Amino acid sequence: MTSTARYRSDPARIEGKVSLTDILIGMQRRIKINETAKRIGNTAIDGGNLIVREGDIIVSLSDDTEVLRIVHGDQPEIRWKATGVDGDRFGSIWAYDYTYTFGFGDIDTTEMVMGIYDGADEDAHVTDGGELVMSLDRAALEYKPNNADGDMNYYLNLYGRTDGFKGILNIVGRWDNSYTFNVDNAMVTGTIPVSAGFSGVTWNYSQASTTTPCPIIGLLDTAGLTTSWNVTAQSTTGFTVTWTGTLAHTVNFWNPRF
Amino acid sequence: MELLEVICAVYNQDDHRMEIVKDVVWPDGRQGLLLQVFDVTAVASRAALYNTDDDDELYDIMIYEQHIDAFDPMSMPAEEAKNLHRAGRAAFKAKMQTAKAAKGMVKALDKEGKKTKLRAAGVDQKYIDACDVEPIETFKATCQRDPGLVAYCKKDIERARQLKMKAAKPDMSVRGQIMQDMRKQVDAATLQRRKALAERVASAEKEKATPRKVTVHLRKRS
Repeated sequence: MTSTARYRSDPARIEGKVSLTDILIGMQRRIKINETAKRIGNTAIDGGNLIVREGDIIVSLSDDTEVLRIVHGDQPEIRWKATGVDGDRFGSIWAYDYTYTFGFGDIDTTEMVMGIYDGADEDAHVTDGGELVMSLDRAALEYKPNNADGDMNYYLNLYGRTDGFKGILNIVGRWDNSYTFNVDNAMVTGTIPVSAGFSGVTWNYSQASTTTPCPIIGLLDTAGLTTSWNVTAQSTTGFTVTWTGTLAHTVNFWNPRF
Repeated sequence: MELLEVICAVYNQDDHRMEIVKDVVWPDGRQGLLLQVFDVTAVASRAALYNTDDDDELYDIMIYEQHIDAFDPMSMPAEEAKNLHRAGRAAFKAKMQTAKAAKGMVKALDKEGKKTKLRAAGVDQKYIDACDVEPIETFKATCQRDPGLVAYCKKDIERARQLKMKAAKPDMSVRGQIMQDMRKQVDAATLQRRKALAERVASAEKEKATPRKVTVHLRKRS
């Protein structure tokens, strides 16, 4: 008689009762699962640990310092805790669903976020640095320091998928005054006050540009008496503006590089 | 070409800028004062761009940069750019001397002459006071370069230089074709995703609609 035949002809099962065979099979399954869990819980992987704790999967160093945590729950998350000079912050990639009201009604969205957060309360996700936010109807690159400094951001589709308000960009921040950080800066911006007595100004860029920025000039003359003015020179290294008369002027420039 | 004479130089400490006053005769015959302004860190950038640490040369580069025939110093090696700039300055100065001589403007203004000119123009007193010091001395005293900044500029410039010297000129006639090809790629990828999604949905619905048959065999033990 085969084991299969014996299993199928078990009298307890035929009578609809739980058989000893079923009990043994169930026990074997539970032992296997527990052994696997213990192995995951206690495995040292080349000097580190992989732990399952309260539903989260944790990777730690040999001294139990947590370096990576996969957080379970309604807001799945991966927390990155690099060891080194900053123990007050951690990096995270996380997602959550929420409803927000934007003046045009309630909007349900899934949001995917990546950023730097204050480690004092990890679950609170208090941003302390850069953040990339992607949701159903907009995207943003933000800088939100957790102090008195101002936030900065670059928003795409600021007002969401609202008819009449779609496609709005929003930029919060300010341009550098006259200083060019790189030779291939896309914009060279600044302001030059020129006191009375002069009929022109030359500005030399703080960095020569790889291609010639195009001078877009605003000439401020509070007396309103300048009759004509021109950009008379432009190059990869600067530009010159001259005007009639010798009144004081402020030259504002916002030069894109092509 | 314009004719110019450097009158004085002032360091604006608040803005970290050098202000140089020039007396200029424009090609159309207008004469007036031109204020040249730059952040003092610009000198570090030029030191890196033209591979020079010579204060006299850097002063000359800054003074004449916007007056010589424009060229692209980043489209060539640093030494070539430096030599071209030198040649440009020499040519400009020679032409300027000839033009000045023709107009009877050979003698440069002395200190008092400069101050008189500035007073007549009605400029701020700081420029008049600055006439007591040679402009190049003010420049040398305030435009000293942080070696770290020069090194940073050099790295940035050389990276851009290498890219620029190797880059091909864009063929604008193919731009339209490039845009069409890109559009086709994006559309093809979108179509593929939509097709795969539709197949998954159809497969899931089919499985849902088809009930599973389970057969149980019971054999009576003999």
